[in-house]
Amino acid sequence: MAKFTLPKKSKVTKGEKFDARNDGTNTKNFSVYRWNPDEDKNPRMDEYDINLDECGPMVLDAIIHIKDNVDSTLTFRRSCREGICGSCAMNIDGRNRLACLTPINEVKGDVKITPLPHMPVVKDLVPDLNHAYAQYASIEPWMKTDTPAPTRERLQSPEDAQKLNGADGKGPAGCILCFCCSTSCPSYWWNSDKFMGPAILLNAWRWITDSRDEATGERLDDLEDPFKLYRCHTIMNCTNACPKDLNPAKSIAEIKKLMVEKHS
Amino acid sequence: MSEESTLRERPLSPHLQVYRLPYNALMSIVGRMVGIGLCVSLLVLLGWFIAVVWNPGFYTQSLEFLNAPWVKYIAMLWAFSVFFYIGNGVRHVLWSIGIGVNEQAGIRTGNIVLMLSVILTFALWQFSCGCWSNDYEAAPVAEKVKAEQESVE
Repeated sequence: MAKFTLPKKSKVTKGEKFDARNDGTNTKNFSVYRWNPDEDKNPRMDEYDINLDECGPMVLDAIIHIKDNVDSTLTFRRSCREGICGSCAMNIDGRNRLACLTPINEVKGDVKITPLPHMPVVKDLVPDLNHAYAQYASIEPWMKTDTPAPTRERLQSPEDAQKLNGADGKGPAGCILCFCCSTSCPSYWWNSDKFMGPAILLNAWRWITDSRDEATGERLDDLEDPFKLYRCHTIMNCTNACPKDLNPAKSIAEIKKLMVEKHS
Repeated sequence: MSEESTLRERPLSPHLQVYRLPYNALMSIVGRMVGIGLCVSLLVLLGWFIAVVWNPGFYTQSLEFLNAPWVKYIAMLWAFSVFFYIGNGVRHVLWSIGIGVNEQAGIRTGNIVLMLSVILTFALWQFSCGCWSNDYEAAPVAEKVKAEQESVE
């Protein structure tokens, strides 16, 4: 059953205020979710007033600036800073995105940053993704074949390759597993224990539609379940959230279509 | 191991509290609420039918209520809900066969459904509700029903 409010110990309280404007005129307020597992306290929103002339243009630049110069205890994941590793996925201004691809000036007013929604928090902006990774493992995301291995690569026509990469480069193979989509999905919020969520279903589709994979039937059988697949109600938050402009909703619709074909 | 067991329970990150629902999500949740509303209203209507069957006098009593001006607007809203729910259903059928499953198409078809629902609601009003204009009088019908009832008794 869906629970629309946060548990008592998860309710967010008001936090500290840090003034790091340094007499600058081009400033912005960042309101950031904080929770420390070493303290027996509720999460809080700390506020940082920073001088934008002192940092780079992206939200990730700003939180790195905060960690380096204002508050070194701020914890978050980041790596590539160019939208390919998927580490800095977080909720910025009410929408899931990659901090490294989000320009600060795209956000009107104060910048509110919270971890990916409806996830257990390890610390500050770091969500616990173990369950999502286990779900990913459960779809066996590797090529499965019965035919004997050829002496060279398994070949694929350009048309078949395009089913994975997409004509515009936005096919399911472009997924970086940042989980912006899954954690934007209300169905995943209420049923993440049983529903696979858009990220995993998009990847399932990536293997189902691969012309070289020979376990299509097996993969479909595994997803045929009222929860694993059919908790998707085409709310399309996933497609709205994807920082790589992929379309998980479409991948899920394709899986549902194949299910029907399998039965007819 | 003892260290493990003293780990604090992880808080749940904010979800509905912070998420700005985009257009398609709003349409989805409104569609759900309209569906629940229709379901409840049909139960009420059914209850009224049963009440009238059990007690024909109840019909004349309820006419007074039904002729209150604001009931008209409720009925109008109800008609809109029906059209909206059917339209949304058609969208879902299209999505199920893989048509229009992207954000822009969702916004476009959603707007079409909203506009069609408004147009159809007004059209329905024009066609069917001349009989429900302000100069309609409940009294003759009520008296007729009352007279019939008495003659039966």
